[in-house]
Amino acid sequence: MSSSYQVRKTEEKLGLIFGRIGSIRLRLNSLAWQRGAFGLLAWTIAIGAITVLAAFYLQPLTFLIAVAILASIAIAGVTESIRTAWRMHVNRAGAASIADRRAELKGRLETIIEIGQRQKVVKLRHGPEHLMLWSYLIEDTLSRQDEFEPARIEARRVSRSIYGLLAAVALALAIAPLIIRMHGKPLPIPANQDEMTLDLNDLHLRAADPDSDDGVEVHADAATMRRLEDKLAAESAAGSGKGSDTPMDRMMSHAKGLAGRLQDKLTGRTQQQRQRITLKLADNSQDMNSLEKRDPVKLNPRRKGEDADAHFEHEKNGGDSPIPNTPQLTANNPERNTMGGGGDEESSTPEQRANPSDNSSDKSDDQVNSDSSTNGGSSHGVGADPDTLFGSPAGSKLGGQGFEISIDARSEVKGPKAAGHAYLPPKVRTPLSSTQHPDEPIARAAVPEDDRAAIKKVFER
Amino acid sequence: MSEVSALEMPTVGDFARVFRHIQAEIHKVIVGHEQAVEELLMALFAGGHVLIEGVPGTGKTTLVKTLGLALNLSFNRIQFTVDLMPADITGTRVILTGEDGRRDFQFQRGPVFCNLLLGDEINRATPKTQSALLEAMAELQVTVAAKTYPLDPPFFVMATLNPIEMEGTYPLPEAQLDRFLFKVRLNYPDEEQLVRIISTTTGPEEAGVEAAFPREEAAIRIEGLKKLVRNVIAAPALEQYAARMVRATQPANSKFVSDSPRAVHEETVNRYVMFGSSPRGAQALILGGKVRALLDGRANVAREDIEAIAPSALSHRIMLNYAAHSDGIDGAHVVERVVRSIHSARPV
Repeated sequence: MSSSYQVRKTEEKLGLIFGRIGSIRLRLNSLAWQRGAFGLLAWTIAIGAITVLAAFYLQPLTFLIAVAILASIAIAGVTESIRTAWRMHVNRAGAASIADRRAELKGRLETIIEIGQRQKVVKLRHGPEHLMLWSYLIEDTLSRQDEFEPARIEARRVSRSIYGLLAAVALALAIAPLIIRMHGKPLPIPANQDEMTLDLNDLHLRAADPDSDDGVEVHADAATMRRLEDKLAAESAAGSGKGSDTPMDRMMSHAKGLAGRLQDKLTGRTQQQRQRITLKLADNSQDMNSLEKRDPVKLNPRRKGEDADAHFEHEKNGGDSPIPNTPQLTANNPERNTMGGGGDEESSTPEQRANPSDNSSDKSDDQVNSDSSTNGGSSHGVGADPDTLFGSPAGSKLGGQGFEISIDARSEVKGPKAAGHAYLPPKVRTPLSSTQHPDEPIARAAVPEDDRAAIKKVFER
Repeated sequence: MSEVSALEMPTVGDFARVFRHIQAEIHKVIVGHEQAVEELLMALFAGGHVLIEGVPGTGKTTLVKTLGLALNLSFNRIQFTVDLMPADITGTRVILTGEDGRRDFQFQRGPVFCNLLLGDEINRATPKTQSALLEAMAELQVTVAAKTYPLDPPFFVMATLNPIEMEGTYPLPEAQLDRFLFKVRLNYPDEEQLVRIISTTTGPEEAGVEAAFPREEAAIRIEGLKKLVRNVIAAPALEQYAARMVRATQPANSKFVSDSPRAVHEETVNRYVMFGSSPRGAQALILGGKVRALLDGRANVAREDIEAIAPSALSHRIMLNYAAHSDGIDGAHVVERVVRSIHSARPV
């Protein structure tokens, strides 16, 4: 009787210890799940806020890369949060083990949990000495119940990971006004970045991707613009010769399009509201300038006709000239083209001189115009002396090294005749110098009489 | 057994009290060597045997003699020499003349028939003689001429090893080494201890040792305490912990023990260990842990107990290779690495 009473009392005490360990487990697991949830939210909010901010400031391709990196970070962070939460999650034995360590109970709780779960087997297998020690263990552990109260084992009710969540929310709140202010509005361009002056010789051109934005506005005088056209045409021809429309290009194009659409969705901007840069071109090539200044028509007699073919002004020309693979360049400022003073006639193109009446219509078009005689008929500035047009070109400051700038310009064909015609670059005939003579056929010489018989024999044979 | 049950069943408190009392009595004679004395007593109450290693003059023999006095048990000493025969240990059948004048073979008990046996410089005897102790140590019995003679419990063997004079010695076979629960090292005393040794051993009076039990109760009381040790609760997780630790000393199984990618012991074990611990090592860990738990007033084994006992319980069971000897690595070093690794791999 006394033995069964002792067993019953022992089991009651065991129930108390189990209940205490259950509370500890509940608290520990609560913290674990808080850790997971807060981590998940913190990463999502922080990465989301940074992504939206990036959409406002980055170009599509950069944005695409940034989104990929941010998504990777977010996935890694969320995965780690969930993994940590899962590792922190404990069963009853785990809770007992943690309580043992924190309360320095030296394995008492862990032993009770493990043995208590199969106590009936233990009772049957072992003798009274074992039962006595089992009772002693429970009694001894219960006498230390103050040491393993849930609040002492784990004082916190809220996980420390809430600080991470608060930081993420603070970041999002800090970004939010900026995003609200900029939503649907074009990005303001910094004063020192909206205009660039470059020497044409320092300009490296390449064919643009089809989805590239036409975010660059090029300003130059007529002659410089013609050289730019030539350069673009040469690049386009070289690009088409290389067969640039590879699967990688198509994939990149698709990706950039996707990134652009995502950016538009996030920023509320339209394609036209994206950042534009004004690029002022100057032709610093002294040799060419001098030649052009001397007699551009004489030096390049086909220029006039070629200029008519090289239509960068599709709108102006009504799309009559098909120029596929030619970068679209937008509005040249007529006022700037007329800056510089002297050398009006010399610098004007043959087309201008031949047909000055066309200039009036050009003025209204906000397009690249090689005829720059709209300002009172003066078409000065041709020859592109940078000192008198747009100031010193940036390229001249770089000494002999120079630098390259890539213009992502979109080839655009407009007009009914555009399709199916390749752009033919204007042929340039280099003028001869004063010491050179044009090639002439050499006059056929007469066969000497003495040799005629021999020659006749040879051919008859 | 009936005698044991006739006495009052010892409690956890009794065990710690008796243990500390014996410890204190021994330290009346033995200066220093606290850990060695504690491990010696732990091995006694765990039901094992002890191998004591130390340079000459560090008190190996004195320690064992003092223990015998403190426990008030029968005590014998065998000085192992190269010409010692197995029969000199176990005993032999001799022709004796009876009262009726008849001459008959009778078994003459050897020195092994006692409670506490000191095998002094055991490595000086031949392996044949050394192995005469195997049966006695493992099975508490002696077989002579096809007849088995049981030994009276408690039976406790303390063998000493002199690590310096290796010439003319026979290293203990692995099978015999494995039968010792602990290997206890006796190091040189420090200056303060040496001064106390001088003052207590060179005076006119010898320190008296008070026995912990009356002579007639000693064996029964000690057996009762040993039984209490066996009933200390070891959770299955702790048994698994000990098993993992033993497997970690085995080169073939070392890599399976720890989930930790930085298992520091792996390289050490695979590089230096020829053969790891036997299952007796795991038994020694748990039994030693149980004694430690009782000393701490607990009825359960903790991980800390197993980790604390591991160097003494496992180091002599690990057989090292030449690389270990050339690099100055010993068994204790390997066990220390293993314990650290297993400890760090504990579930959080």
